[in-house]
Amino acid sequence: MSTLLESFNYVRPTNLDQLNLLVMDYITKGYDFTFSAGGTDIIPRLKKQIFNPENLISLSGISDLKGIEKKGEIIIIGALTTLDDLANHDLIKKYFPTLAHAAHKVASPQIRNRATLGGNIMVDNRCSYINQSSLNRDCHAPCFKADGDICHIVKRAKRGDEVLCQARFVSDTAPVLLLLEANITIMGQGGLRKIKLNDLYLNDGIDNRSLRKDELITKIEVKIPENESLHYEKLAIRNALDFPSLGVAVCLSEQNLSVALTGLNPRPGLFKAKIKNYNNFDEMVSDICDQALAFAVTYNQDFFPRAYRKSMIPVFIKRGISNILKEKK
Amino acid sequence: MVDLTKGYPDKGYKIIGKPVPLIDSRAKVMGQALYTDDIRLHNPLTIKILRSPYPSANILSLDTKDALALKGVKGILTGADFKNTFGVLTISKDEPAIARDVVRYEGEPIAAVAAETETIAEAALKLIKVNYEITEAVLDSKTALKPTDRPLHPELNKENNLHKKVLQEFGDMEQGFSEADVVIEKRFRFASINHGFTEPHATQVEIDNKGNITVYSATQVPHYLHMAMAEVLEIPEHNIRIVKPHLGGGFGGKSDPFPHEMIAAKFALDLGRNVKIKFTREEVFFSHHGRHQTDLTMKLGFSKEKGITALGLDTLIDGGAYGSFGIVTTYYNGVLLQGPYKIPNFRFHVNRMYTNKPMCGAMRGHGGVNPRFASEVLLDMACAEIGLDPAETRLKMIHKENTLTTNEFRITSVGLQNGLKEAMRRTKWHEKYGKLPFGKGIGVACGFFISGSALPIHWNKLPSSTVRMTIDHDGGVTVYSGATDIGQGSDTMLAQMAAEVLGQSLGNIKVISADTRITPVDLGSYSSRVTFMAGNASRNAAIRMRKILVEAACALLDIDPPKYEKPEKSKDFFRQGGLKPDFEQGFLGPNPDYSDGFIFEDGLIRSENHNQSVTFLEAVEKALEFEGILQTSGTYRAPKLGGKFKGAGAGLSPSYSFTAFIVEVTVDSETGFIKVDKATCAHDCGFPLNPLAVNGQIEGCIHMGLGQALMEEMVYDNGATQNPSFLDYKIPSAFEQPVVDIVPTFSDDSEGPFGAKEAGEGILAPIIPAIANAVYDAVGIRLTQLPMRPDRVIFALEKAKKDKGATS
Amino acid sequence: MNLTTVSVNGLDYTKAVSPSMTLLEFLREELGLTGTKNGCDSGECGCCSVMVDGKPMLSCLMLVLEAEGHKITTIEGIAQGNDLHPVQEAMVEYGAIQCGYCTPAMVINGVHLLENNKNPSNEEIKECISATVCRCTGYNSIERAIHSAAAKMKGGCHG
Repeated sequence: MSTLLESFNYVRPTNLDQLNLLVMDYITKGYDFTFSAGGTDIIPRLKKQIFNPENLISLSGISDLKGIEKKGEIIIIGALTTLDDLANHDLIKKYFPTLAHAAHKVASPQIRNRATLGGNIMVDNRCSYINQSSLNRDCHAPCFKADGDICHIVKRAKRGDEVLCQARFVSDTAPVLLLLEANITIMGQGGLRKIKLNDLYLNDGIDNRSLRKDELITKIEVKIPENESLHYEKLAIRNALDFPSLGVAVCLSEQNLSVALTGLNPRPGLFKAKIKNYNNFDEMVSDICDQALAFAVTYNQDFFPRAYRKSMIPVFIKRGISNILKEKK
Repeated sequence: MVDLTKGYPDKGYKIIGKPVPLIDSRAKVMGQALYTDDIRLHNPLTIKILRSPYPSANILSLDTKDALALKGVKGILTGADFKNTFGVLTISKDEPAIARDVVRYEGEPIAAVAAETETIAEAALKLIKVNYEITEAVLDSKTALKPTDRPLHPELNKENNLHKKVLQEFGDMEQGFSEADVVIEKRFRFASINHGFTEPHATQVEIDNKGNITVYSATQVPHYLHMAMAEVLEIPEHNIRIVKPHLGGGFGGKSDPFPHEMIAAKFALDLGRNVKIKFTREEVFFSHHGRHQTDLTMKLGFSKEKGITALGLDTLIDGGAYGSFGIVTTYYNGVLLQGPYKIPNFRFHVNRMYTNKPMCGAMRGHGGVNPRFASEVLLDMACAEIGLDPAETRLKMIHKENTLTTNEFRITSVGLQNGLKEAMRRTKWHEKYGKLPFGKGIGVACGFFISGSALPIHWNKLPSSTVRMTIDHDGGVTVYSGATDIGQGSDTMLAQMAAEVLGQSLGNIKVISADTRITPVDLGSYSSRVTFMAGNASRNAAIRMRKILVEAACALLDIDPPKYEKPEKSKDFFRQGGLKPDFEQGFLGPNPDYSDGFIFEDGLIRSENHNQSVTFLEAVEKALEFEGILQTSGTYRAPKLGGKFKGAGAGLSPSYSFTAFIVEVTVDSETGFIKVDKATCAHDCGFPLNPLAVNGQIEGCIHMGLGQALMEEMVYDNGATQNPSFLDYKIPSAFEQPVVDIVPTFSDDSEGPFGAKEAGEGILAPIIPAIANAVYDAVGIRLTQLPMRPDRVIFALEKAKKDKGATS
Repeated sequence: MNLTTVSVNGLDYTKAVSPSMTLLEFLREELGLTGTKNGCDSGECGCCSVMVDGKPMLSCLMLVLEAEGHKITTIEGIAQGNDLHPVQEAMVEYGAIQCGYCTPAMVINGVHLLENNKNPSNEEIKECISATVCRCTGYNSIERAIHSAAAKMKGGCHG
């Protein structure tokens, strides 16, 4: 029931060198810390006392992490670029209109003015237990994500299970970036490393990102697609504010059909089909729908019941395809 | 801006009937209006409440020692500090300010801390040790019906958790059903919903050095709070002053006295310090008081010739842990079906149950909304089965003026017929109904509501509303009223009354309202009573003032003052229970004509016969010579109404409003999403005093009805509120709101102030079944459960497909 | 405690604040600017919208220390003395204000829209107020008011 944030120490480095020194210092001293970009995901969780870091390192002062530029056929997006800037940037609108659209579908205008692309990729997984207030959570034993020993969503879950926590992934931008085969640059104490966005994610609701404590995303790189068309559709009862109950991104080219899913499992889903492997188009669509359905693990932890969310997967995939085909005409 | 007066009769008024922005708009649009939490008292303590994490438990022990020892903590209250329970209704005062020994819902106050800062108060909460014995919770109203030796309220001496049972029967049900061409029975289910007002509950208490307290609180009912607080704190009412600052929405959710108000006042008195408390959004959901979760089965008999021949319903409503307005809700679940159509044979049986959930109470459309959905859907089904046009059928059945309903409600003005006809014309009803492509639909539904409850909650012989009016020596008019402006614009309405009668600009009228030290008693803002009751009182105070000024003008002009005549009332009027002659009030009968041969305008008072005038100010000065001060009071007293049977008082109102909606929808048969494209509304609120405000109420009711229809729902899991936030409790956004077309609809209510009736609540109910009926027209399914979520649409569509497959 | 300087409605305020203080608490409790409302304190009602460097943001989701170096405009900084902004004027005229609790946020969002878009479509107006909860008006009158203010700001006739 708290409206007040628990106390923490706040630091705002103004460049990457300062940041690196600070993180090194904290790691050496064994301090507990967390990074904050726009803060729109972290602050509500702090208020609900879902976690209480001792130190909050604000990234908002580091201008090197902002901005969008084109280098050859690559568009480089600073991780701290706000979703609003992303959605309205000429380069993005020109080369990745679907990414602009997905960014525009996140939360609300006021939140998009503050929330960043890096933050949306990293948005914490949610479930109907953990994202309650501390009072509500106090009614029950703490769950795995709260360092406890049970799951309130999957009652039979136990330590040692392959997927311990089913808190679901809710980023709107990630599925589109996955289809665009985005790469991310990660900065940490060991220097920089570049990975595919798809390799960032683990199937673990507690923390689905393969990042070390000292690591953060600095930029997202996307290659301008040649003959691909994308579509993103979000299932939410309202046209504003809500997290996706299901999000389906579809990418269609002359050779391939690929689909990425959000709002379901702890990690996003990604499926590809090569047209040449099928007798006809419908067979391919049907196969990719089956793959998506086989992947999707839904629980009643959302406004919509699980069966409905699952049943919407093929509907949204087919709609995505038909929208792309319609636009092509 | 379009001319909002278009379509309404021009009655020659200067202020009444004109679109007037609410008089506090400017302060609000600049951020200057002070809401309760915006007030800055001197050095207040902050109060925080410790709430139960369990819906049902015994408090075995409560240790506040460590919390009290924390530096900065000034006091802690527990259940033992409050002897008296309270409740808005005298007949169910069952709620403690703080749980004593027993916890009845998750979120119930267990203890409260007052500390120098919010941080300290929060820290102290964590130091209070409570030893709970968790007990088996009663989680739904069906279980609550079962006999138990451990009911939530043993003081009622009942063998189960029944709070209130109402059974009324009129006419001969069997006969009624036998006369019907079609009889349909169906079960309907409704989720509990929350008011969703934007300003969370807040209270601040200021104490003087004589032990008097001023309670600033976000309340719709200062008078009831005043009485309840005096009883709970065991101090005289005159030691308590309740002030309602600007209020950020109520919709019934602030119409009870609340535990936090008692807690704050007690702390102020005990500690001799100013105090403040403000709820988090989550606490608002824990306190709830929203619309009851409802399970009802309704049976309709319908004849092609006679219309409705019989209507019966059995209803179970989940009241949660305490009474609140629940007894009224129980009656309203039945009696509010007595309009807009004549129902010759009528039976309803409603049980309100106690469960271990946050209590339910009054919410916009109180008790009438859910049964209205059922009856309008059944009527639509009957029309479909017989092959009648549902709009034409309704048009024929709407009550005629000056009739009695089967349960002896006096129906006076009815202006809906023309409104519905015009709505049908505007929407091209006959070209669309049943003729739109699959996925597109149009539907109709009607509704009916009271213009204020004729009987008070606390039985007394005082007028229903009283207004005091003064004029300063420089001609400024002040209206003092206990009526509670909760954003609906009642202050503006009161000012309009005075301005019209006294020929003043709205800017020359000041309104002081909802301050129990200064303003006369008014029962508050609930049951859509303010315009009709406080409005009449303000009008009458102004008429008395006018009489004084006219006499002063006559003295100045040296002419004879006019002779005032009592309004004539027909014998029929009295036979139907009209106003008793009120000798004290003299010519101030219901809605009196105040034509006195004088014209008040442009700062002048002019005699029409003598064509002479004095200035308003000269008359004021002359009158002050007589009177010393210029002060009048005006009252409104509801007429004696109703039958002689038990429970006849429920739903009695001096007048009733009537509403019709035609709604157009698009249903996505693949995803089940319902998009309400357009809502066309005809609402008979008598003569609209301020079309801008009336239209605002209509659009607001559409929004709220849309929410209940499509997405709003309180979700509980083992008694724990699952969605206590605006992220998880889905209030429609601007995107979901349909295009609204408002059809000018009116009647001339002979007792309403300048002919007006209610416009704040009745509009909400029929929009919901109109949507459901449009969905049927679009895709052929009957939805019987709210909210009509997309997954339920899909389920119904699949079932319909299967059923069709089975029969073909 | 951290010492911070925040520019609010054109004035710099230097205060010692707790790092966990939000901009909303700072405005209401430290500066007494109570026009910015606290309806949910978790970014879901929109009532605490203020402009940060000309863009609407939620002051309940922003630490006050994050506001350092930015220009904050609250509802108290919108009117020029007694002269209302066209959006404010239109809100009054169109009856877009009932209880008024969301009104400051609606104004902030509407002013921002019209400063960046002289000809907003219905969809764009809905978008700009879509995450600010108004429980009274059903949004229709607010949309009309913003339309009318847009017309007025262009110098055309409105209505």
